[in-house]
Amino acid sequence: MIALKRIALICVLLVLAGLVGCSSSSTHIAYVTLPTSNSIAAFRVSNHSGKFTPVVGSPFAAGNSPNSIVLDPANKFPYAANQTGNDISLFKIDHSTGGLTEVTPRTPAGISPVALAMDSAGTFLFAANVSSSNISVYSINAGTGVLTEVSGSPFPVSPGASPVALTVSPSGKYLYVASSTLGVVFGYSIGSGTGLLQQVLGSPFAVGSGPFSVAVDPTEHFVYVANSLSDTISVLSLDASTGMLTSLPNSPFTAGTNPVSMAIDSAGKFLYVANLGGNNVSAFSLDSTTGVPTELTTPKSPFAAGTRPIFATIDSTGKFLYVANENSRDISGFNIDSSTGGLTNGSIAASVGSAPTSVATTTK
Amino acid sequence: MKKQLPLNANEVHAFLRRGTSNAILLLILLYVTTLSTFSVAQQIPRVQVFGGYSYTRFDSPTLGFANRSNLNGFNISPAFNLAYGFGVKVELTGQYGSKVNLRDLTVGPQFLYPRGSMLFFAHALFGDSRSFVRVGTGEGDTARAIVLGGGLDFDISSRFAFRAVQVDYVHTSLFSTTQNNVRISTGLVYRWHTIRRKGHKPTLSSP
Repeated sequence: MIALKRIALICVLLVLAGLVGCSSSSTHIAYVTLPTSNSIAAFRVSNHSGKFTPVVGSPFAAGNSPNSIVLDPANKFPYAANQTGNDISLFKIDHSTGGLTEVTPRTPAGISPVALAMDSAGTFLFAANVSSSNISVYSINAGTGVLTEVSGSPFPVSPGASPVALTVSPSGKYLYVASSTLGVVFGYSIGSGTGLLQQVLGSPFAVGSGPFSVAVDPTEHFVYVANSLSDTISVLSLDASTGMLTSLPNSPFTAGTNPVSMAIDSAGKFLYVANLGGNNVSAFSLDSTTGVPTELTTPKSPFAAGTRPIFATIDSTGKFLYVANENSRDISGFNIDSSTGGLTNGSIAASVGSAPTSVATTTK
Repeated sequence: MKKQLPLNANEVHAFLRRGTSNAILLLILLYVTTLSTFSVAQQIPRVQVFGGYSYTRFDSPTLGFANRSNLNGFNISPAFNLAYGFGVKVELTGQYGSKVNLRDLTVGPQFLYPRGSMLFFAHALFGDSRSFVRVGTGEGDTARAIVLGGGLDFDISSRFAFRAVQVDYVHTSLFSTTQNNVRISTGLVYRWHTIRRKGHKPTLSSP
């Protein structure tokens, strides 16, 4: 009978075996815009390894040429700027599956919206309309995600300015817009509660040639601009009380070939720049006092990426840098050394089938 | 030397943490242990039809899900035993969850060993699995399935037995990825005819 008890125990163990594995590793989700296929690819990403697992059903149907994607702070609503659709798509995330469902109707924008930015509170969404040279501003319904264009929107930038990139300062007080054709950055104050844009004193601010990306450091002391045609990074100090920008004495600083996208880590210690023409990523340490970027020498920057890296972002864990490669149609995944800022691995995290232009990651 | 199985809680926990490969090993051990422990063999039914409840812990993170999925459904499996201790089984299962449905149709050999009022069995089944996932507009796929498992039946009457537990490791290759699932079933078995070992008389009545 002892043997029988053992067998019965084995049976119980087998039953329990079905329950083992209930624990799940923590993950988040990455969404990648694919304009040429009018879709958005979705991946489950391991917080531990950064490994991408395609979400079944991905890519999901989106608007016409979704070029840029951002997420609200609550991770409920992704928004995509549809460049040829001249509108904004709102999606809902099914966090259990990673799936996306578009909420229609789409919200009209200006002509050729190519970039989106949202304030950290998730109150307003800003769209850069490259062909109509203006900025559309929307208030966000926190419950439904529905966009409502604010009074006075769209706000004109400047004739022929062709705004291609924009970012909101961490405090949510200022919006900075890069004009690739004029070689300047426009600065705006954002009306609290209204979203009304007003140019700050001294705007626009001169930068290098072909500015294609703009970023503000987490302490809101410096603005960084990637000048895609002059292969430099402009650094401007930010007056937090007025939003005015002043170029650093030695700015611009040498960068890689055709820098087009930037990502700053949450501590403000490191800056990563995707070099479209160099097929690599440059890494810089940032001086917290002066804001001066110094390219890493150990390990040596730049780091190889795919072909024509066009977008860089640091994921919500802060451990991984993801780079969207336009011509190789994939996403490079780098491990970030939090102490040195160096990048390792750099393997292909995912192939996406068509040219990716933007990546957004959830925080959970 | 007598073989020791993990009997205390720590051993059991560590054992289970090693994953589904250990479940397969356990099944083999189950079969070997029963063969080596019991010297008294009796009789087995010629035909069995099992029907009952089934639960699957589906490996949905391979499809991009945040967690594994709990699926509930049915298991129907007729079996025809060709000889004492050996037969052929067909198994049809349907498992349903809020986001995933899974249906398997598999066939393969089963091995049986009776002991008193109990009948131990193990099987290796091969076939297809069909899944439908409710993500976006919905996605379906059909792929190969391999089922390795076993269980234990208790006699209720000459015709019926209660399948106390059937545990299966279910390997599927849906949506171009590989899933390692665990399935548990329980229910009733209806039986016809008997096959007896040499020197033993049947106790199950034949129709």
